[in-house]
Parts: sequence; C-alpha cells; structure tokens
Amino acid sequence: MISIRGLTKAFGGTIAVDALTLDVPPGQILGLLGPNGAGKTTTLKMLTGMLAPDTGTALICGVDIHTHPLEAKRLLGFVPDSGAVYEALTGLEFLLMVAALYGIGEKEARPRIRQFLDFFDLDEVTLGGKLLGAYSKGMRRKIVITAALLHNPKVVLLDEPLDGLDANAAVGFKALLESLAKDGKTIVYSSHVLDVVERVCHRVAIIDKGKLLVDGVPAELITQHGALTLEELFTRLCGITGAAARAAEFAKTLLP
Amino acid sequence: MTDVPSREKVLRGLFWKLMFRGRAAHDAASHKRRRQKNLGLTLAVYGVFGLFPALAAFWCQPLAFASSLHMITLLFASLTLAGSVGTMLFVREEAEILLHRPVAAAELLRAKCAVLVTFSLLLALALNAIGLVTSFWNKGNTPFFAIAHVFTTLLLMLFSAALIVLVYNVCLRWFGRERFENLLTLLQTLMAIVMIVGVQIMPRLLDNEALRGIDPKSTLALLAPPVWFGAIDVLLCGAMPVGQVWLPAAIGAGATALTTWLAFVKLGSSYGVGLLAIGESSSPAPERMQQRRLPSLVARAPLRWWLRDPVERQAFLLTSAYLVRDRETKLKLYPSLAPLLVLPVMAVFGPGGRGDEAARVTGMSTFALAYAAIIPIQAMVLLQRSEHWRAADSFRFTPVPHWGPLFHGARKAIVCWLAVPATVVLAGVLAALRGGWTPVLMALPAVLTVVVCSWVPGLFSVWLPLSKPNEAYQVQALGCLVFGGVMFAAMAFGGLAAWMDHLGFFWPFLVVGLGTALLLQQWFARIVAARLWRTAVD
Repeated sequence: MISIRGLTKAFGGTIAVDALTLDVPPGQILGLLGPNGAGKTTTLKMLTGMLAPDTGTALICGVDIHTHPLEAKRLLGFVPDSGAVYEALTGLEFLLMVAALYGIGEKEARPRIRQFLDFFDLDEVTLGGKLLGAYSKGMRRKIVITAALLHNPKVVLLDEPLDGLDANAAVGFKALLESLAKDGKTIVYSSHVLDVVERVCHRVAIIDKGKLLVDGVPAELITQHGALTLEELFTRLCGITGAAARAAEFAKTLLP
Repeated sequence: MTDVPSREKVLRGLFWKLMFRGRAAHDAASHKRRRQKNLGLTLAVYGVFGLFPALAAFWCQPLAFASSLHMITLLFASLTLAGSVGTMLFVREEAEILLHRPVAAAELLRAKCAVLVTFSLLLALALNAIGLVTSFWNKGNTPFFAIAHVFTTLLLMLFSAALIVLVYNVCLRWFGRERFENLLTLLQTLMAIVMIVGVQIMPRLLDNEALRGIDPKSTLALLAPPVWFGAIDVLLCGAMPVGQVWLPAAIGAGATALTTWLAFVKLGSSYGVGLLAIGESSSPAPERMQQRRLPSLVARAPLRWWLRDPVERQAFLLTSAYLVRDRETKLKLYPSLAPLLVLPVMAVFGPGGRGDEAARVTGMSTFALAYAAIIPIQAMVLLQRSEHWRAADSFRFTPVPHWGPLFHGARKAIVCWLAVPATVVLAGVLAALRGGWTPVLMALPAVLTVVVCSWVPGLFSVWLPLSKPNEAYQVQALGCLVFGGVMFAAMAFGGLAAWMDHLGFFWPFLVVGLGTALLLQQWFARIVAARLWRTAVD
C-alpha cells in the first residue's frame, strides 16, 4: 500500500505539492487527476524516490522511500510519461538490464519477458535485433510498461500509460490493470483522459496547485457535487467553466 | 539467483554499450562491427601519437622520460575522458529511466566512471605502448619501469576521472542547469583547443634542452601532475633515490586519493540531484528574455532586409535558437569548430616561424583565413543533424513549396552568427599576434569566401536544418572530397589576394572578387532552385 503524509515540495517560490495526505490500500486503483502543472508528476516523482520532498513522508508498503530508497524501489514499478528508454539498446537488452537491476537473472527474466511479448503481441526478432531508437512510439511504450512490471511489483505508478498504445493494446492493458488490482497490487494511475480514469479506477483524487481538492469513488463524488460526469466535476473544481461556449466563440473568431 | 550479476556490473555493461552506440540507430549487429573497427582505428592512431614521447627515452633522464609519457597521456587520454564525461554523466531523461529503480546515485556514478576510466586506460596504454618498449633503452632506468608505468597510468586515469567528475559536480551544484550547460560547452571547447595546441607544441617541447633533465624538487615539478606520476614511476622501479622524488610522488598519490574521495564519496550521493536537474525544464525568466531578443533583432534592419522571406526568417530564428540554446548542438558544434580556428593560428607560429618577414606573414595569414571557409560547411553539416530530427517533419507536412528558404535561413544564421564573426576574430587575433594590418586586409576576401562556401552543402542534396538523426549514414569520401576542394579553392583565392596585395592591386582585386562572388551565388541559387522539394519527401 501507499501512505502519504503531508508531502510538500516547492521549486523556488512555487509550491508544486502542498501538504498532500493520501492512503491507497492494496487492491485499489487510484486515479490521480489534475490540470497541467497541478503537481501530479511531482507527486509521482516523490513517490518513486526521484525527488526528495521538502517535508512529509511517503511509505511504500510501510517502507519510507526517502530513508530506505533501495528497499522501497524494489517494491514499485513506474511508467513515466516521457517513456524514456536507452535508445541505443535493443528492446531485449533493455529489459534484461532492467531485470538485472531488480536482481532477476537472465534465465529467470527471459520467460517473464516472453509473457509480456505474448501479451503485447511483440515480435521476438524485433525485440532482439532492432534498437529502441527505431521503435514506434507504441512499441516503445509497451517496452516501458514491461520494464515496470517485469519484477512483479506490489505498487505500480503509471503516468499517462496509454499514450501511444493502439486501441487493442490499450484495452488489454486496462484489463491487465484490473487483474493486477484483484491480485492485491496498489495502483496509482495519473492521466488527463478522464473517461478512461472513470472506467478503470476505483477511486479518484483531484489535485490542483498542489492541493488535494477531492478524493473518493467517482460515482459518489459526481453525486455529492451535483455533476453529471467526472469531466464536469473536474472542470468545475479546477475552475474551467464555460469551455464549450469559449470554444464556440474562439472558432467564430478564428482568422482566415 | 546465482546468475544475477551485481548492479554495478550491470550498469558498467550498460554504459560500455551506450558509449559506442548512437541513439537513433536501427540495427544492433552493424553497431558491433562498427564499434570494433572504430576502436581499433582509434587505438592505432593513439599508438602513433605515442611515438613522440617514446623517442624521449633515448636522450632524457628517467624522470623526464616518465613525465613526458604522462604528459602526452594527460593531454590525449585525459582530455578524451574529459570530453566524454560531460555527455555521459548528464544524459537527459536518464533520471526517468533509472532513478526510480533500486539503483543508488553513487552506484551510477561509479559505474559510469569505471567505464570511462577503462576506455581512457585503453587509449592511454595505446599511447604508451611504444614508450614501454623504448623504456628498456632509457639510460639510468630499470627493467621494472614498464610494470610501474602501467600502474601509474591507471592512477593518472583515476586522478583525471575523479578531478573531472568533481569539477562537473561542483559546477552543477553552484551554477544550475542552464549555466552548467554553457560551462560544459566551454570546457569541451577549451579541451579541444588544448589538444590541438598540445599536438603542435609537444614535439617542440620534447626538443627543449631544459626538459631533458627535470629537477624533482623545483616548484614547477611540484605543480605539474605529469611529474608527480613520473616520480611515482621512478620511485616504484627504483630508478632514482627515494630522497629525491618522494615529495612529487607523495603529492601525486595524495592528490589522487583526495580527489577520488571527494568525487565519489563526498559528492557521489548528490549526483542524482544533478541528474534530475539536467532533465528539469529551464527556468522561465531567462527563456523569456532570449525569446524577445532574437525576434526583435530579426525585425530590425539590416536583418529585416536580408531575411525578407518569412519562411527564411523562421529558419534563421530556428537555427539561431539552436546555436544558442540547445545543449546537444552546442556540445557538438563549438568544440568541433574551435580547432578550425586554433590550427591556423598555431600554423603561423610553426617551426621556423620566428622570423617576421612580411611575405611569410602574408602567406600564413592567407592560409589561416582561407581555413575559415571550412567553418560554414562544417557548421552546416553538424546542424543538419539533431536529436530532435523528427520535428523536421513539420517542414514536410506544411505547404512550403520549396526547401530553399529553409536552407537559406539556416545558412544565413550560420554566416551571420558563426562564420563571419569567426573570420573577423581570427583576423584580429592574427593581427594582434603578428602586428600589422595584413591579416585584417586578408579577412575581406576571406569573408567573401566564407559567404560563398556556405552554399556548398545545398549544392549536392536537399538540405534541411536539424532534419537527420545524429547517426544517419553519410558518404565520407564525398565529404572529404568537398572539404578538400573547398580548402583548395579558398587557399587559391586567398593566395591570389595576397599576390595582388604584393603587386599593389588589392582593392581592384577585391572588387573583382565581389563581382565573382555575386555571380557564383546567382549560379548556386539556380542549382538550389532546380532541386525540387519532392526529393526531400522521398
């Protein structure tokens, strides 16, 4: 599980995350929502130990990520939104390298990689012979997801994981997330695609300017705030009002 | 799980592979072949460079001989190391690939440095190979010198790696990301210059009587790292009494221990912070200032008159922005252009160059300034490649009827910000060093040459700025032929200018040269216009 207490991070005079407190129990998928610059990625970076908080704590299955980073990192898998990989490695070299960093030897890693290959319909020849720099965006994303799940982590953090995936792979991945949650994994899913979050996540937390605005089951939150959809609730909470009217007005005023 | 290698071993394997492979390549097998070939060639070239200090064995005393070997090692292997460290230590996005995995920042740093030290040790051993053999003929030396020297070369590489890592880490801590990137470029440019200057002065230094015998207790010896490690050499093999060389040897050992501790133990844990900082977006304030300055310059005369075509103007802005702001562009461009400027200056001071006869100065200045003709071509070759090459698709899917304006915009940016200023600076430096106005006068035909030569990359194929991956295949032979042809033409024109100056016809010659340059540009413009856009899409 994840336990966050008073997590705060400021960059210069700007507070990116402001005393965030959250718990995500095992078996739950939490959707982390917020407009651009709300502090989602900073929160995820603090949860993964990439960024040290100014104050507050983050526990991964009871292990403090900042006092015991290596132990905590072994328990989590992270899909960054950048989808960064070493482009000069082949897909297979990259995955074997990542597996070794988690203490999984080549013999044990190969069947695990094979499983993901089958799941994502990846071709073994491409994986072993082509460098990642030559992969399509979707293929690269599949490799990044495989690299995050290869060591079977207890906590999975996802930042826009569907970006670049084709429809089939996206459907498969969403089903995989549900299965992982049923197996007791703790999942945090950060995205701007609200309908996917609404369908996949058991619970959503909306943050803006680093502060937690609401936290709860999507259907309940929608009812509580008198909204019709999660999108309406989101836009209302984040101060985006009259978007349709503004868009119509903008389209009319577009210069020829 | 017995087959699981340690994390550091995994990381060392990773960085060794990354060191030799490009980012945007396609086929892993072809890289392996190219890597072996390139490494073999590099080691052979380094072996040849090692010949100069190796010959010192026949006339230098053991300490001077050992120090000269360490000097060339420091010059080449350590500077190669310094050039590679910046790009290997601070890879953008690396934090997102590795720092959320169970890897400590200090482990990352150690693995990278181990790879760099191993690589530079290979280079160092190639450099010292002939010296190790000639050491057996070094008067006053012992047969154990070779063993001791291999050990001290390793020590020197460790010292160099630790010192460079320390400097980079401290700079990143103090200066922040944006200034750090500029510092990185400056350091690598300086290193390229030092290497070129070193190659030029090394043979002359070794010829110097004063260096044939070094006093190990002199202040100069105590301040020179090659002497420190040379002293450890002669101390270990027993070629000189301990009482004479213990002090520089102790300084060498102490400096290595101290820098290694500071770089890897004291500051090693903060390496992750630096790695993250490199990936962070830049602070908004300076970015806004840069954005305002460049377009306002373009909006004013004379640039407004020169860049009338809007596409050309935007290509000019794009190229100018990359020349100033993009880390990758700066790191590959400036260090590769610096030697082009330094070499001609060194050539003016070449062997036998102590006389200051007017004809010689004129001739060498002409040669030096004709060398400047390479600058726009080299810059354009480098600026055609970028890690952001995929963004060049925007040139192709927008309704731009011809690639010419994109080429001209980039070409003009290079002429305006790089080639002409470099020629002027070169002329100024030569005039200051040699006295007299001849280099300044010769700069006028050189400027004409530079402008005409900037067209060359667009004469053979469609040229778009930042449109190819860094690893894209290029025809080396054609490139060499073009470079050779341009150099020959530029020198011929420069030589003609010098001759006309000698005959008293410089100004009429310049007018004719200007007319020729205009005619040539007209002809080149037709060639560019005749090559259709479709070629680029295909």
